[in-house]
Amino acid sequence: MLPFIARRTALMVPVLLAVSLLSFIIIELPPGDYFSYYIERLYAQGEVVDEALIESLRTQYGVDGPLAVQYLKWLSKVVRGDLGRSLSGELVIVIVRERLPWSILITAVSFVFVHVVGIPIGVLSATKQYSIRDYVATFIGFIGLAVPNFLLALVLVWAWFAWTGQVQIGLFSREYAMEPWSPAKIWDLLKHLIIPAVVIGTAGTAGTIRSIRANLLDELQKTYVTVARAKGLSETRVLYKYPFRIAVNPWASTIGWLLPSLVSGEVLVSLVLGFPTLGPILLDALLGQDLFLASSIIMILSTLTVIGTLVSDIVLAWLDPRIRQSV
Amino acid sequence: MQGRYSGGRNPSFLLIAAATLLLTPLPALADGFPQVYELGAWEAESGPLTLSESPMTQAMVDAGDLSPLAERIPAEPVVIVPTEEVGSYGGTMNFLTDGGSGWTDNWFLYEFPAVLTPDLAEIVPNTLTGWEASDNARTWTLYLREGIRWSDGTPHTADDWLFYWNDMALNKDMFASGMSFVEGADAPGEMRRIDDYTIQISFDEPRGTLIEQMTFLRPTPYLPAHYLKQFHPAYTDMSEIEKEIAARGLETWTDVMNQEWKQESLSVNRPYLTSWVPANSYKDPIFTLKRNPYYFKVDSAGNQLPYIDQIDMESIQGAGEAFFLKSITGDVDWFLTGAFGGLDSLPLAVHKGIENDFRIIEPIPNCANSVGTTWFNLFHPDPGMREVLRNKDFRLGLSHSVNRDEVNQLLFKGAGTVANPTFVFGPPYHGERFAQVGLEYDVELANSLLDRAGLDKRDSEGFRLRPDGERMRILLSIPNKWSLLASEAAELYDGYWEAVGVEVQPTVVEWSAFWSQLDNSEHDVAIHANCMGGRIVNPLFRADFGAVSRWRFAQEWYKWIASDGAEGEEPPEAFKRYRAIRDQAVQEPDEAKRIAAVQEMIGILYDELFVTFGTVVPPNLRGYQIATNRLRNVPNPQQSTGIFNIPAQFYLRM
Repeated sequence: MLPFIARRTALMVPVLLAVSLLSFIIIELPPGDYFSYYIERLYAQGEVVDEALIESLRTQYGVDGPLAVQYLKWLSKVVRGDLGRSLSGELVIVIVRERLPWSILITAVSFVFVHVVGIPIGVLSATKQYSIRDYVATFIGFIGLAVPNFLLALVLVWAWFAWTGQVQIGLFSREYAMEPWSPAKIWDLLKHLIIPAVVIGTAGTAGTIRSIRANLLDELQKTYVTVARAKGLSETRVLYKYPFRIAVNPWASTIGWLLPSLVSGEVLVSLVLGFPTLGPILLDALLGQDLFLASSIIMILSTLTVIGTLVSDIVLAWLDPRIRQSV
Repeated sequence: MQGRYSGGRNPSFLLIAAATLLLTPLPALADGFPQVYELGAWEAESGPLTLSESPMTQAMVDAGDLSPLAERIPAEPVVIVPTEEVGSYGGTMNFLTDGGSGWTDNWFLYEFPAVLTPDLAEIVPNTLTGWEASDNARTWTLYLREGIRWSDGTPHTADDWLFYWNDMALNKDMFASGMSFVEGADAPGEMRRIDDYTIQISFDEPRGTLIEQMTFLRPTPYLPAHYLKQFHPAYTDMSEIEKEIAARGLETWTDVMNQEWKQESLSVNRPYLTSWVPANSYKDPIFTLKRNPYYFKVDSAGNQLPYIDQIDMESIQGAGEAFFLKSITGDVDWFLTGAFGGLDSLPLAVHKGIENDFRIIEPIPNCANSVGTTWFNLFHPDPGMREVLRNKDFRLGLSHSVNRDEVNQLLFKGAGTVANPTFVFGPPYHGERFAQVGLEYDVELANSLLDRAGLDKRDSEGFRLRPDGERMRILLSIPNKWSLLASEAAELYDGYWEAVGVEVQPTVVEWSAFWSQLDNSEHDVAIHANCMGGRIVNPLFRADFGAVSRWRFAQEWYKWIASDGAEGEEPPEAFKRYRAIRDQAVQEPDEAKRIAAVQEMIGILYDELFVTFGTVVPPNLRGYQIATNRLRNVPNPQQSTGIFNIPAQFYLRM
């Protein structure tokens, strides 16, 4: 086990290097740069722009040199932990630190929703296969998958507005936004998390339901289950002692992708609902060619993905003795 | 909602009609705009003013935390006559922002040396009290308003101007490429201090537009020197600055300075001259602006402005539709719908306004953008194509084939104005009188013009052939954002131009590739709105009209002029004349002559060159504003962008 972990950890370095190089190149591929984007945006808003001023900013921020030089400078800073600065002036680490907790919160809430709802429904679908309950549950799951997240979010916001006259966007209501933490504030936050939890959650439940259902059905056909039943074990025990744990196996192998989905999973919903999370920031940085901000966030994501995959493999090895042996 | 849309009639037409009725100025609201006076002029008309202040600051004075009013404001404050009536003090205005500094920037952050009056009629002194030009506008003497104090109580003096000019604008570390405002013909202008409240600026060429430029130049040409000196190596030891750099995690002193010097940095510690000042970081969920006890303006009854104690700006990051939805709940006191509104949302807003107690405000735009403004590539790499695109008859023919009334009907239900891109309508440039070329829908004329342009032969499918025998096919480029209904316009052009035999292929191009195409003259015909300016920004300085730095109509001509003939292509005589008039007008001290010059330029642009055309200028309501009924003194119609002396006299009727 240990040599396996050591080998995988060593492999992380070249992978991350390749990712950083690729992302840097791709971000700079479109013609123009952050400052031409900035100028165009000002013009589009009807402003008069002193282009010489912006030219000076280009020099100051060091985006007027050859790409290779910029890449190496950036890389040398990143390995020392200095994530650099967005071209809008902010420190990347400050931006990330402010937003990552909210990204984690929203993803965690959705994650809980998906599994609290998805797993039992999956089990129900499998055990009561082809019953009305199976069909209804699967139908709901697929609706959530088929309807685009942002559309569902908009519809829910509108429905809430039509019903209560309140617009439930952002993380907090105006009254609580600047107040210190209190039970009332937490309650306000939870109310605001209902819509994203439902939206992101319903998209994820379909997959979970079907996957648990399919795996469980496979297991329930096997001979050892029939034997267990014949020997008089209760249905619940039969279900949860072995088949359920084996059905959960493939799902466990995808936990690794939870970490990067912290950011990407909620981009559209965050945009629609106005959350201060990392996804919209990355989107803006990419659209605006904010070179250092985008590259640094992508580095963070890639690192999380690689670590996450490793963690997931370890969890899998721990969960399933068969894998532990082969590793 | 049931039964609402029964029957064949388009329901939103009825609501637009209702909206129009609601917006017909009622007597109480027809007062127009606030008026601005110097104290002397006001007292001469209406007798002496007794000055008083808000209960909030009065309490602080009584507690000994603040100096009395007479010591805080100038002996000659600016007098503002409110739009509707003298207001009452107190309250917090709720505002909504998308998390950037843009909203605050436009409306709350600037006190220019001189400003346009809210009705745009004239330029009046603001932080200055007056100015004099001499030596044919080469030398300007500016008189500062004595007694203005920054929001931390420090007096505002000539030092604040000198710091801007000598220590910032001319500083090569801050502005490696210089700052055009201070540049002259061969050398930068010089600023000299005459006394604490008088400065003199001399250029080596006439600068007739200096004052006009100061009415929109951002950041302002004066800065809180006493505060910024701590970040400047000329005044503070580098070792001290190094500590600041380290504390903020930055790299150079210019980084630190860039976080502080501009008004739009919204730095909390920085002093301002405005009616409200930031009380916390603009990145907080609620960004608060608090009353500035040193604000140098009073109303017509002598009350120190502003009336409103505090502005709370709730920040919702970038949400589009949801943003708009929040504004119609009645929680937001003032909302500029801008890009989030549009005519389609107006019926809903009117309906909710009745329910939630707010009203619609019609903005007066600062640009007369025309939907579908065309940019022909006069320097097309393909000679056959270039020959056609350069032919004025060809462009005119395409223009005459467009049914603009139909476009108006389809896009704006007839509420827009058929016009080519031009200046803002109304005084002083009267855009509505110009750019009237090519607007008539006349398919016969269009066909004959296209025939005359050498496209008289057609191929087997009915499309016209170019003189070189190739089919006449236009790739119509549209940027994927900030394009003012460009896709709709492209679709419509497709229909009209194919009806006269020109094949059209609309294509959406990612914005950076779009601009790159235009810069390198790689496109056929592109569609994008441009802004020729008006009263608020002099067309001479608009890059799409006078400044020519982005004259994408004629990129190569611009390069030729900018490089003195080294690059690009020599322009036709008409364009050279256009440019010469502009260069002369910028220096011209007489405003009437400047305006005449601008009107001559647009004449050349359309009557002689005809390098562009558009379809319809959108109706003003397209960018409507929302104001709750407790927010008073909001002009209606209202300006759509940074005109000052308006928010300061808002008040909340509680």
